[in-house]
Amino acid sequence: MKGSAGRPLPARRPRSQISATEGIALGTCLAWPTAVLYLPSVVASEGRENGWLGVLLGGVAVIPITLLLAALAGRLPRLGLVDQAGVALGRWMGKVVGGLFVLGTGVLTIYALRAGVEMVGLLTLPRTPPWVLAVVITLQGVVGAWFGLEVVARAAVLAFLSVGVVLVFLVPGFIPMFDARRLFPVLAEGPGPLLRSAGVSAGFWGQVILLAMSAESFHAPSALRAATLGAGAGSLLVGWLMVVLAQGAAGWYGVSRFAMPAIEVVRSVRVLLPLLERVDVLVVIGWTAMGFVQMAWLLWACARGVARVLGLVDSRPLVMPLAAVLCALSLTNPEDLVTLILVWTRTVVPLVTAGLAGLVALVWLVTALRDLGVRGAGR
Amino acid sequence: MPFRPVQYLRRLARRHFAAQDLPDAGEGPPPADCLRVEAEGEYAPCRVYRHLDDNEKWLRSVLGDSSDLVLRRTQVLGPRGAWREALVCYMEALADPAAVADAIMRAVTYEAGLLGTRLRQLPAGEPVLVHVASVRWVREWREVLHGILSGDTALFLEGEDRALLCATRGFETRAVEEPTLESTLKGPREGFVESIGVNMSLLRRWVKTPRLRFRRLMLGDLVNVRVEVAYIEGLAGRELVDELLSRLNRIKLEDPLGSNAVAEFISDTPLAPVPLVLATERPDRAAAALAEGRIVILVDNTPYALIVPCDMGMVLASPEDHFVNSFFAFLNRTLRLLALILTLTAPGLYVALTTFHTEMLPTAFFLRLQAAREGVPLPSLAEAVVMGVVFELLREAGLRMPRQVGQAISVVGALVIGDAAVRAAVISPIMLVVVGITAITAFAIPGYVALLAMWLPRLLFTVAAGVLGLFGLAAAVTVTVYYGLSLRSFGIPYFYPYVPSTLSDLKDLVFRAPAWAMVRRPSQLARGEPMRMPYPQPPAPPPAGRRRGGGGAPR
Repeated sequence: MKGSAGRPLPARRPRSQISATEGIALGTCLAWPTAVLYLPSVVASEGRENGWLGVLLGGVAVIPITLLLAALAGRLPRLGLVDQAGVALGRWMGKVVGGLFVLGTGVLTIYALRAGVEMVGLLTLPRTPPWVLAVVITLQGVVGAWFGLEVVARAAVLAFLSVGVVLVFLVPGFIPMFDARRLFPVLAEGPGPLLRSAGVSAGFWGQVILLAMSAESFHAPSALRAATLGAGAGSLLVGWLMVVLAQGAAGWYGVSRFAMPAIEVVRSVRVLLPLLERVDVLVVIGWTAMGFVQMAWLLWACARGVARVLGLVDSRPLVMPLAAVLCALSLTNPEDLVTLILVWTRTVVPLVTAGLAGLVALVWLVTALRDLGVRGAGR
Repeated sequence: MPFRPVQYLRRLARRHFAAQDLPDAGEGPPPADCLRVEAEGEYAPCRVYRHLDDNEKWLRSVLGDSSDLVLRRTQVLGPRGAWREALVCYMEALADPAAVADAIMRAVTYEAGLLGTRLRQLPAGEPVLVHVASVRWVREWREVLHGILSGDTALFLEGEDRALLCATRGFETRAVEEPTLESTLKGPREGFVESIGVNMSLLRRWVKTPRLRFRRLMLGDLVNVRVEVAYIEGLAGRELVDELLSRLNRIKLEDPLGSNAVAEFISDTPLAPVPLVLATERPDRAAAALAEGRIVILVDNTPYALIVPCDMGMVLASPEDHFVNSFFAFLNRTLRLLALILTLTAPGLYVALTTFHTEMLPTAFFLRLQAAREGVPLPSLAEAVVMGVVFELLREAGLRMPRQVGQAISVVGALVIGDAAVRAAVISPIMLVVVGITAITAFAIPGYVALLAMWLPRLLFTVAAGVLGLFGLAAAVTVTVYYGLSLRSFGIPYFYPYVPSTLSDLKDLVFRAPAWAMVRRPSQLARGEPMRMPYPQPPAPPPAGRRRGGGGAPR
């Protein structure tokens, strides 16, 4: 295998290895924490009764992304996206494309951090200043990113337990109020609302494209393919379940009135009444576990990407300064939660995700046209 | 390996002076410095002399005028009826005097005289008759001295540049007893003792395979502690064995060495607050580890065996699990997991709920809590921290005291101090309940070291919960999990088999599958021979009609 202009591929240091299972957990951590909280409201306001169908339609976006990542990793195995771009596009163009990818990752990080801060502050610690929460979330992310991708991926596997906790409290809360008639009729107002909700939700599921940053750490391209597909499908399933349950319980109009409809519903759950009056805090904490891992992963991806753009072998010295910058930027976002969610879910996530997918597609296209790398690998 | 000029020059100088200081056999006694043993063999071997006078002089110069040193000249009848001068040397405090007298002195003089004719037929390589089961010829003073200091008797013959080392160890050792910290209700009652020979025999009794290997190392320049590395050839990875031996060979120490010191020397992360090298006092547990492809380290004078690699699954497992029905083992393990979560988070949850998330509690319960806390001067966080420290103090004091006094301390701690503190409104009654739950759940976790390891994270979680409520608690737990996930023991992730894990690994985690279903060995170990058995072997009773007595009742 050789790079463009016959140059050897970039030097690689011994790196951690993650399995397909760990990759699935990692990918799920990217989309699930935000999707489960905000997605029902967004797709309901965009797609009305069609929202739950639009979520499924948007999930189709995972398939081309999976194929794209697997094809690129098959041609240029054991390289991250920045290095792959360098091989395909040459040194400087590779750095530009890699830098744009890192920039997109940074934007997603900023918004995810701010959303987490708002959610925790609103539901569990209303008197705590947002900057304190932002610093705590960032610091735990710094620790995770410092230990490396392997640790973060395994923490993601453990964080799956929190998904179980959240679902145990969420699903029984919805069921008594569920009425399937509220999900119909679909397509009553034409395909427009359906396509809009599909577009919004595709942005959420498409965040698995960020796995391209860690493509170098997978055992094989097939593991990356399995991880991307599994993460997309897992996130989609849980997110779709939340949207269906929320719309079936409160109708599309009721769901669209709340920023976090899932939390509003779970407040009415009384399964632990003799011991606990409110279980929504437990749900938030369970959700937080996955959110923490998401933040650690995003910080690692940013630091790793910047390090490769700068040609550094070790990304750990960059974790802390980058985290400080991203944390500061997250606090300059819109003041109120509603504006934040509107900007984030309808603009930032879909656009950034589409842009990142486009960059990956560009790298793959050039690689294929120039016939670089290993042909037939990873199939 | 990079070239290091300073170390190279140092080694060169050492070799030069060593060559000057260590004369060949037959010359005057060398300085005691020749006793230093280097793993790389930098010093020339210091050999036994041909003449008894030199040997005696050398022994006296090295062992000094120690009162328990016995050096006795005698005559030995060897082959062809020739009497030869001999020197017997042993330590009175370590050797069995009766064995020395009967098996060596009597044999080499009296019985050899009676059998003189037959002795002439002895081959030239066996010029002496002794009645000791284990004898060996040694040429190096290092081995001679270690044998003597271990209770063996050394027999020197005039004209021989070697010594006959006879196993006459006779010092008292503790009998094999029931393990104190890892006792079980249904399992075996044998525990390791201080004698490494006894411990090796215990292991051999459990692992009756010719593939069981013991590799002997002498650690500690001054005290020469004997260490045996046990593994099953082919099961334990070659790289793992080599890595362990290289870590052990790197140890340079002048002080006595116990198993804990060895564990600290070879640990991947020496300052980790969790055990990365497992110490066990149960031979059955050590044997099970060997059968999984792990390595067992026996250290002389230590009633524990060290097991590497060590993972969290081992730390949280109890030996009892494999001696009860798999269903009960599953229940016990579930309880222990719950106990682990509770003992780590109970004080933190209490602090978070009473400080930050009071709206989570039912109103009536919250009012009762507040009423109970009425007049307590300390905030919940300080209360929890202080009571946590008091609990650890009581535990430590109870351990250090004799058993009867220890019980008294427990009673004083639990009743007098607790009751008095509640009456004086220093702490709230609910805090006593929380501390009680924490203590009970902590003691449900097997292993004293695991118990100690809980202390620091519990304190961290409590403080984090006191600062930022459940959110702080979640952050502290996440960071602790990150740290735990970053730990490795000889290359094996510490959280294995929780993560990373395979389906077969899950069969012996929280749920313990029946013995016939555990087909594979742990996936991270024994990669050469991953199968315990070729296929699952569920019990298959014969069909009803073929049972003795005609089978079951007609239907």
